[in-house]
Amino acid sequence: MSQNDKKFEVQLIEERYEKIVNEILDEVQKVPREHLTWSDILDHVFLNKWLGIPIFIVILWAMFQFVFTVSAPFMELIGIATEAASEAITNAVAGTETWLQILGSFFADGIIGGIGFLASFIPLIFALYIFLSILEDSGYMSRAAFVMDRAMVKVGLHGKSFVPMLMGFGCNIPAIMACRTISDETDRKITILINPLMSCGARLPVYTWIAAAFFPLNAGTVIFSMYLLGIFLAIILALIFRKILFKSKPPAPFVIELPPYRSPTLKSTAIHMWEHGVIYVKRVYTILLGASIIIWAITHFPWNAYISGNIQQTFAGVIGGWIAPVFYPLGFTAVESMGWIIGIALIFGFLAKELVAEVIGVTIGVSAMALFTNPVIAYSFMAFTLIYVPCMACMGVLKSELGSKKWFIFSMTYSFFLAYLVSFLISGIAFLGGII
Amino acid sequence: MTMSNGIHFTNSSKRLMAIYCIILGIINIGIGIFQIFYEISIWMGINFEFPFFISPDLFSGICLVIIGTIFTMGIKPLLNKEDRGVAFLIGGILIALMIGAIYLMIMGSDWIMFLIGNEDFESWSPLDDFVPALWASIFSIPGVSIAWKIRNIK
Repeated sequence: MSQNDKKFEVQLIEERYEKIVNEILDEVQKVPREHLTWSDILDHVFLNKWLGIPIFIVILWAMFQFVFTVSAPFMELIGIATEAASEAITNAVAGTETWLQILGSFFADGIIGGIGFLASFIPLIFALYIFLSILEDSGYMSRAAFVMDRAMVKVGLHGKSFVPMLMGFGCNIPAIMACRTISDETDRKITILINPLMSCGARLPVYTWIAAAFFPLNAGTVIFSMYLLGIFLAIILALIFRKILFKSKPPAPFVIELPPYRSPTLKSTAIHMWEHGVIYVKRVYTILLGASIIIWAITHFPWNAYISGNIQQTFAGVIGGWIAPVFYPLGFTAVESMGWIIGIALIFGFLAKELVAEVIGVTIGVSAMALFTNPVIAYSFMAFTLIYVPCMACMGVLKSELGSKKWFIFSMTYSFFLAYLVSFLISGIAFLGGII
Repeated sequence: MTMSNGIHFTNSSKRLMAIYCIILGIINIGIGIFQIFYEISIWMGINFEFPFFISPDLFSGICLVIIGTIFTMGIKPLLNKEDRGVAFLIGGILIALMIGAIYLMIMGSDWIMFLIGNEDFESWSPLDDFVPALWASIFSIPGVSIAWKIRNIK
């Protein structure tokens, strides 16, 4: 179906609803029902004017507690298996000829280490989709959109914008494409521009890796706060964009059909989880495997530099070193000799966000604790990873959906400077408060 | 509440439900506020003596306050014998049990980590995870029977 066909379809639906509202509802007499249904009972609470949004926040928080908790033991087991396999190969080639050592390192660090690290996040992604599927199948997701509509309209967003924003928690690419359902050009552009701020599943490995190291007791809450930060920034920017860039009228009213509440079945939840989760699995064994090999190559060559422990002399060290000064003001590079690691990790983040954690944690083998030295700086880095430009695949979709180079460049520029500003504020406040 | 399939909540049962809402409201809001203050007192470096069964956790505290507020909002309509009061009781129970179930899963997950031999869980005991949000949710379990009675009404 072409974009014009979809626009026509959306227009048709809207006109149908307008007709219903204007002509039919005037003639309809509301007869009070004898009893409340199960859906009525739940809607009294979930759609309550005062309780709706706080309940949504509680559910969102519960989701991240669930995701982090359920996946933790599986992640640990995959990590143990990966480490054992890598160690076995490294030990087998130790003291042999150089070419064998390179081959061993390629398999141990490049293939098994890289893929194993990314594979350890598969349980996390599946857990996220289990919860999202339960919300969707139970009928709560459309309630969440309805509840958020009031708040969305106040900040200059259309109620329809909320569904693509929620989808963004899974992946920004389908979320941005889902903005096609927003018929008004301004509403659609604003929603597309802020969508990359919705934290996708690919950023989750970065948060988890840092939160587990610095905030082991509150990792779920810290990760949840990243999602809240994304939503908060999206709302503020939507307001600014509408008032300054577009100078348009408030968005049109939102119409949504609320399905009755249903108990999600194990089968449908499993199907939804698999359909979405398998995309990440495929990503790990295709794009991310390729990227892991490239990362291995640039961090291990020239081989002499690597083997003598001068990783800064490798290609990654040199390239990262050029970029490192950009991040000095943010405090990411408190350990000066490690500045290049941040630089190279963020470059690979363009390719796929998961690679930020992989480059640092696996290929270079530096722990989050050694790199950031302070929890606030680590948090500031998490915020930077959330906000600074989306991955390459998402950029492609952004460009085509925005329909102009000008808006695409604007989107990239604003997100980088916003990331810089937010991280600078987090680090700066901590510095002024004497925390760092 | 009179339902078409014969389920009937009398005025006295609504009064009982109002009392139940009061109890659950006080428990959840009270514990939630304690948890929030405990966390804030740690941030500010103040040494308050909190009961041993209260643990510091800002977000968990906020969740409990919200759950307590849901119960509290049901008190007035239930005392006025209005049907919608039952909705707040059921809504609160559902969310309290959801949070309780999440904390139960945290306990299970930590137990597996302990069995695996993760160094962060070497001295772990189930009591470490018996946090307020978990034990507060136990008080909501009796209310499940009310939700069970009316869940199939179309």
